[in-house]
Amino acid sequence: MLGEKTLKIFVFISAASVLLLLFVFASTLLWKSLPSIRVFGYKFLTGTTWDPISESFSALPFLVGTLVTSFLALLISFPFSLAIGVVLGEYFNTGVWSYFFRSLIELLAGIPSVVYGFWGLSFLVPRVRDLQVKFGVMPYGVGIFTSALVLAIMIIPFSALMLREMIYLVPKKYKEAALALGATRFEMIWKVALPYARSGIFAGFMLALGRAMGETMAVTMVIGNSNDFPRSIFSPGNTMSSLVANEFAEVSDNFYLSTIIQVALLLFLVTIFINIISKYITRKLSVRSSL
Amino acid sequence: MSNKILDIKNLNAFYQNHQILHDVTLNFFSNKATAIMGPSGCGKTTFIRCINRMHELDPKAKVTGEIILHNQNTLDMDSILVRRKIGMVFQRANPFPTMSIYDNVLAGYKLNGIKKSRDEKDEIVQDSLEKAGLWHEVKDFLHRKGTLLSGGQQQRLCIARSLAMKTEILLLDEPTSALDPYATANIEELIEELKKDVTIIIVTHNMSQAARVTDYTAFLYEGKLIEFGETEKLFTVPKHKMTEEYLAGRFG
Repeated sequence: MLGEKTLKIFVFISAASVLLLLFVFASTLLWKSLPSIRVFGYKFLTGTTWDPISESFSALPFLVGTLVTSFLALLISFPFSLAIGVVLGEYFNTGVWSYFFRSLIELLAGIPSVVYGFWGLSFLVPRVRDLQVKFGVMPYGVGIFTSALVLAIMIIPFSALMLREMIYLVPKKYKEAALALGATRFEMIWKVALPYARSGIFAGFMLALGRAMGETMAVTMVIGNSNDFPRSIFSPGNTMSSLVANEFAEVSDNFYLSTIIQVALLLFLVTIFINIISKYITRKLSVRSSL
Repeated sequence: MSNKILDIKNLNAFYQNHQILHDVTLNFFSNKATAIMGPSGCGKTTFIRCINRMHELDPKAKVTGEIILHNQNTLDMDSILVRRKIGMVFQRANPFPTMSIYDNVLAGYKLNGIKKSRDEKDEIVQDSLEKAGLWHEVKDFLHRKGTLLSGGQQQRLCIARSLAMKTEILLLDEPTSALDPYATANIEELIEELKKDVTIIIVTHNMSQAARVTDYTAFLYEGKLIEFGETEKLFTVPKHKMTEEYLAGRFG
């Protein structure tokens, strides 16, 4: 029999070790990127060139690449996630078919990202190329826009299922109050259920954004891996994660390695920053209901 | 003699294969309060939910018969229009937590997308809150959340929200069952006042409440209307043996 005290100590140590791990993780990134930080300072964030040959490194193109692809993906996925969430959360929320569709969406969430990337490469890239020919821009096919499309498709299952849960969990008493006042079902959803669930909905989209920012494989396959600063959303580019994944294999010396680790550190910091902001907004939006 | 406002004929309500109401026939008189009384599970709530067409929101539910309001069978009308004319207050107060007191009163208009001028809105809010006996308690903080009010105040806010839609009939589904005695007394007094403007149908399994606040009482048992009549007569000289037993507390 384990004593109360022993168990308590064990639980505390396990919990503390996770914090320790986070600390070790962050400090390793910082430690390993120090050589690069010493040389470039804040210019690492403002310059636009990344050239291993001349040892001129700055991460701005990739910071922009990450932010633009993931926010664009969020924007593209928004109406679809919202629609799926509303349909499965309100109109079609119980029963075998609803369960079937939910499982299908969960299945989509489980597809490995390399498969999405390959599909993007073989199906989306030619379509985007046709579009680019029509628009009269350079028909690369690959690029920021294509990555955003793939990312949007990848994050829809997450935000849609989260939204579904949020809309489904809106207390029946509020839905009934709205209907009893003569609201149509759509008016009830739009003016009562969605405002009630707004903080959860926002949190769901932020979760999806976090996934989009960290997603590596699928993006690497369709973004074009260009280290130039992207001139438009149709340009090839690179995100922080795809840069790290790609260039890691080509590292020739410790300094080069240090710059790549600094990009990883930057990605880590940006993720934390977005996380903190979204936590703050989620709390601001939450409905503190007293009944 | 009072005017009939609602004429219910052979109302049957079903849920899946189960029949909840059996051939209920009765009238409601305008500007009177009528109690729907009976033991738990007798179909009281289903009955009033048929009146504003809330029962059939569930696709497994079905209603047959006639509910005549101004010579029109409400069961053939657009359910949205019926619900605007017949308001409902629920067992548990449910002001919208995302809206202020002011916006809660106007929720019916907002939900239905009916635009009103600022002056009209102010007037509707004051008028409805006055009728619900809440104006003096909240007039200085109309833009605070409605959910910050006490339980009894929230329930009166819900009444104001229904009144704001100029409803003719107000359905109250055990409106005081979650309230303390003081708030209950408040609502009961309010019902007397409200009769000037609307017809009240109140579900209650509190017999003394039915006796105190209503003019007519209907006694339902197992989905059947056992007895209907003036409250005073029904409570003093019930015609039916079952009513007598229920009033004596022998079942229910």
